[in-house]
Amino acid sequence: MNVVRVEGLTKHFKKFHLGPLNFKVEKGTAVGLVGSNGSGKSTFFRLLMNLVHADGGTVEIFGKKMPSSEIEIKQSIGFAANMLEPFYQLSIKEISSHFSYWYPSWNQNKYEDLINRYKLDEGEKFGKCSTGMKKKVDFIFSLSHEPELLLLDEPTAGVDLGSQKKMKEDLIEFLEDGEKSLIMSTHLIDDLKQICDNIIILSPNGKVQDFLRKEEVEENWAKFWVSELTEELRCHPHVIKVNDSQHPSYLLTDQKHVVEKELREKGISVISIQRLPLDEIIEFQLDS
Amino acid sequence: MRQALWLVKKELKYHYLSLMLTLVFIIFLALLAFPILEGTVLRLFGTEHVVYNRIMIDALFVLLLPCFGAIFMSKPYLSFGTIKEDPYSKRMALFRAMPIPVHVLALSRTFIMVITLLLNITVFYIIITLMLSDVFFQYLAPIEYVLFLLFWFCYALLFGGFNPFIENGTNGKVLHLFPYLFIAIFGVLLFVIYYATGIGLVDWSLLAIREYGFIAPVCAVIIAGTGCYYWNRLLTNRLRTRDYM
Repeated sequence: MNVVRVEGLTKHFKKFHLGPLNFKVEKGTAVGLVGSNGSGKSTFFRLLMNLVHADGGTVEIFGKKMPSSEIEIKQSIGFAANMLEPFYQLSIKEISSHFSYWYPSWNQNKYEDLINRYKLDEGEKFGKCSTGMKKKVDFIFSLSHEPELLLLDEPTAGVDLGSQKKMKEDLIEFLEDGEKSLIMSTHLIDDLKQICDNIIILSPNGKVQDFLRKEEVEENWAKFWVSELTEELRCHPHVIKVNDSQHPSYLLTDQKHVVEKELREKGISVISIQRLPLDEIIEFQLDS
Repeated sequence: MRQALWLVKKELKYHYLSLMLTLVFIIFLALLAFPILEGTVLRLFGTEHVVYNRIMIDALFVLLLPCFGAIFMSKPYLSFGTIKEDPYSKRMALFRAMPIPVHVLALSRTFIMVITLLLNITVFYIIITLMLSDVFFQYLAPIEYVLFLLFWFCYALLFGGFNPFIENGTNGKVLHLFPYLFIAIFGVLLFVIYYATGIGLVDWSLLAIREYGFIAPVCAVIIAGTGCYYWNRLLTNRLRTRDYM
């Protein structure tokens, strides 16, 4: 079952066009959203939440159309995107009264557990909290009403290492039963490695450059150091980069088994094979 | 309705201090207004020669009364940082991110405006009434005075009803520019009226109440009520369709 279904979603600004975006998020999966600054990650979240209105395309969440089922959908979404600043004069406890009122599934025990777990003082005014503390407060509110889908915009950015670890643990626990889903933007490779199943890479011009299934990527992407590079290999659809400026030359592929078979058939000797770590794959995709 | 009132209660509680400061400023305005209002009535209906400034009385009633619907002694109104920071839009973006129906949000903003206006104008009227001399009431019957106050309350409601739209439906730049635009439009309007009729708008309202009694305030109530309803609808549509970046 698809929790999120986005079709042909576009948004045009004066100097930036986002989309068209097409993708699905399956129930029980975690999707990482990666892209350079200004690639439209935050705008994408706001489009999903109907805070920004699309110029074209459709968004379906939990099988219901946005915005016609907006309230019902939002009640089941935990959204953390650094938006609490207007409550700067309120204490964390006072802010919680807003969330507990508007979310019918608010779990006060869970909220209190999380406040204790992250060692936050409920009486502290939000405006007096540090950047990291604000992130934690945002994160806690997104989780405390037992959402079915979490939308997190760089949740761990600016958070201390200990709390980052706790956040990852909480997200892994959130996803554990396979009933809940997550979309999070991040610049941290560890977040992607430890939490996400799939990765969406947004290009600087606001398009989905790639949709990577983490398991497949780790299985299929590899670097081959070879004795020679033929013209046929250079033009091979699954060879995405070659480097013959050094010896031995190497090629990069997103289909390890296909290329390995072809190299064997053509009698090209493979000196060494290296599976590509996820960060290098993403870096490569972002650079290209 | 219950949800909108819950929001109103929370918001007013958080803006308690700004509301109190606004009331202090309103008291100052009332102290400024009462001698001018007294002079207006004595000149219109009395025989004495009174030093009288119709621009001042019109400025106080025509230009300032609509502001009574806003908590204007608050940071967003007093700081030019609002132009850049746009705090009302950020607050509305946060509310829109929560599962709050748009009509509830719009209604809560309208209620806040009406409550603020009622509070401010009540204090303004009480101070004025307490300060007016007995001579004033020799020329203007108490019932005429009540109708006069009702008329201007309706005026404030009609134009103050636009405040929630400016605050929550536009941006910080418009919030700061709109009062100047309002002053310019009404300044020209007042000048045209003075030139054409020789009297000001407050003069005109007093004469209309004397001439037509209840009719002028009743018309004002209907127009203000209808205006308020349509401002609320306009705000609802705007909150539903605007982009919160």
